Amino acid sequence: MPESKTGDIIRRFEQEIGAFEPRARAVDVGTVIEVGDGVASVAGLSNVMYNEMLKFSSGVRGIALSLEHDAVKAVILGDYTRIAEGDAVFGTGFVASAPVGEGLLGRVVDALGRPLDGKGPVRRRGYSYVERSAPGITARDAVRTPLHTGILAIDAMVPVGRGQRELIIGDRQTGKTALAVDTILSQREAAVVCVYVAIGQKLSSVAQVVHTLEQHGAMDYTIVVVAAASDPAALQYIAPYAGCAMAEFFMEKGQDSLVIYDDLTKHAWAYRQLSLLLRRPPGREAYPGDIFYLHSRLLERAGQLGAELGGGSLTALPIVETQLGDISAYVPTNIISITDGQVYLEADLFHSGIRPALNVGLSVSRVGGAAQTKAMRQVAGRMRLDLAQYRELAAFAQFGSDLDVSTRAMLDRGRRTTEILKQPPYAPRPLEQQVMSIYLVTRGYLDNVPLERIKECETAFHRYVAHVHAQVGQSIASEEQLSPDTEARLKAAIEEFKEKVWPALGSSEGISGA
Amino acid sequence: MAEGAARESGETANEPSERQVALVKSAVPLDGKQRAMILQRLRTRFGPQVQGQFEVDATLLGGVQARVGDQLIDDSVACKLEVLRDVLIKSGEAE
Repeated sequence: MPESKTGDIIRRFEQEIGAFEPRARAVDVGTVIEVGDGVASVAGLSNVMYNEMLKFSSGVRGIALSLEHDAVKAVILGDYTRIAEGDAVFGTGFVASAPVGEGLLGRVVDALGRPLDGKGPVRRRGYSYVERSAPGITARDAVRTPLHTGILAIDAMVPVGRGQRELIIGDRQTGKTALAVDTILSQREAAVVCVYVAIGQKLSSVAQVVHTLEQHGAMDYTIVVVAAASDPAALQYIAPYAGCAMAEFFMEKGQDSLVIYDDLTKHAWAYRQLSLLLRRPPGREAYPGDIFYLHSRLLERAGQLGAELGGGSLTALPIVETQLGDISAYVPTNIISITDGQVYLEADLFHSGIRPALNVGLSVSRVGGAAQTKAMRQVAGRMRLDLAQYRELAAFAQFGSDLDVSTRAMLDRGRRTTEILKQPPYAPRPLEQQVMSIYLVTRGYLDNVPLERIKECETAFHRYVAHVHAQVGQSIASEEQLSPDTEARLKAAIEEFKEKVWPALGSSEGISGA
Repeated sequence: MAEGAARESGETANEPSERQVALVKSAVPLDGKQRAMILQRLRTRFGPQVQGQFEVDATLLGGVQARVGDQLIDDSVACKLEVLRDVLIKSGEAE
């Protein structure tokens, strides 16, 4: 360490110690009367606040969650085996809070903001209450700015706006997390601060996500909050609220932020565990009575603030895992009713190679076109309906071989559209490419390209446009709409490509045209 | 009914009971004069019913600590060091 830096630290220490006034401290104290499975009953602590942080004499922390007539019930945020009956418990006078600030960007922290990445202490601006009330009606503005997810199927058919809450729902192994990670990756240019909250997941899965984010340089603008499956249920319970508080800091500064809660099913499980241990009466599926409020108060904190409050936004993408595609289970229906739409991923589609496995019929965005760029609205207007119709028709057409021309054309177009919407994970795409791809397929330019070569043709076209007609892409990106002039140039580029470049590609690579 | 509720609410843990014990810990044994002084201070704060119980606890390093019911008044060196430690850590983390 250089001499000056050591000197700085010593000087700062001297300053702090000099300013320190030793004073007698009066604290609330209680005695543990019962402990086990992550909760403790404490006698005394008569002045404790709801949600106040408690400190057990062994150094373990807890949160007062039930204030009863003659005892306080606390959840333990650490190793409860270190707490014994008769131990002293101290009130700290602080309601559960999480550190907030720019210093958290690029860090992996636990639900209390303690670093887990070995990169030293977290630099914070201050603390924010984990539980806060959502912005009121007058503080809010309508959701109308698009949040570009980089996933063609979503941006075209279920657009997400800044400040919206869009649920990602599906069975295990259907690409839910990949969808969320893709969305984070495409925020690099958009300057949207991202918070990824992992609740009740395997640490290996979280490590994989962090690795992917690092690889794509996305950790620079991302905070990862982890409450793993091995962490106490209390930490899993507060993790999403802590992540939300960290994102709110940016929203209140006038910035745009995005929080991903991965996933709220496990969050509900953790809360059910705590509630049962706290002896609260169980209800349906043994969940406590306030399971709805658990999620509604979290998701209501998302929103678009009005201009007088800085115009920041907090977009929430909660994830819910279903069992065997049952979206009408208790927790999924609750969250569907709270959010402004859902992206439904289906295992069958995923296994038949349609990835992202978006079910067009069941996925909606209740904000809709208001959160779409004009360019996207122009080209993708009817796409969702057409595709839903195609899926229905395709299931029906399996039984009949004699189809009229228009039906066959529709099936054909549907297959090509489905092909265009396929996208590998961790490869989000910019708006101009999305617009051009949809233009290609909806205007029939791919009708005579064989199905198995659709993707190849699309990629070749993007490469061609980027090299030869770069200004077409640039004007779509900058104007965010398809002006008649740009459309004419795009048309010309497509025709040129199909006439000169594409046939040459087919023969040189030895693939027959039919 | 209302009477019952009033009795209920009166029974909170904070209410001074007939006789309260103040557990006073110190790092070194206290003499009679010191004990009397501490007890007098505690009685002005918690009421005349407070009885003293004195113990020696070397882990306090210095000073005294008194616990009366739900309240802990900590004027020990160990406590002050802990507070100082928190202050230094917090100043290091703040931006």
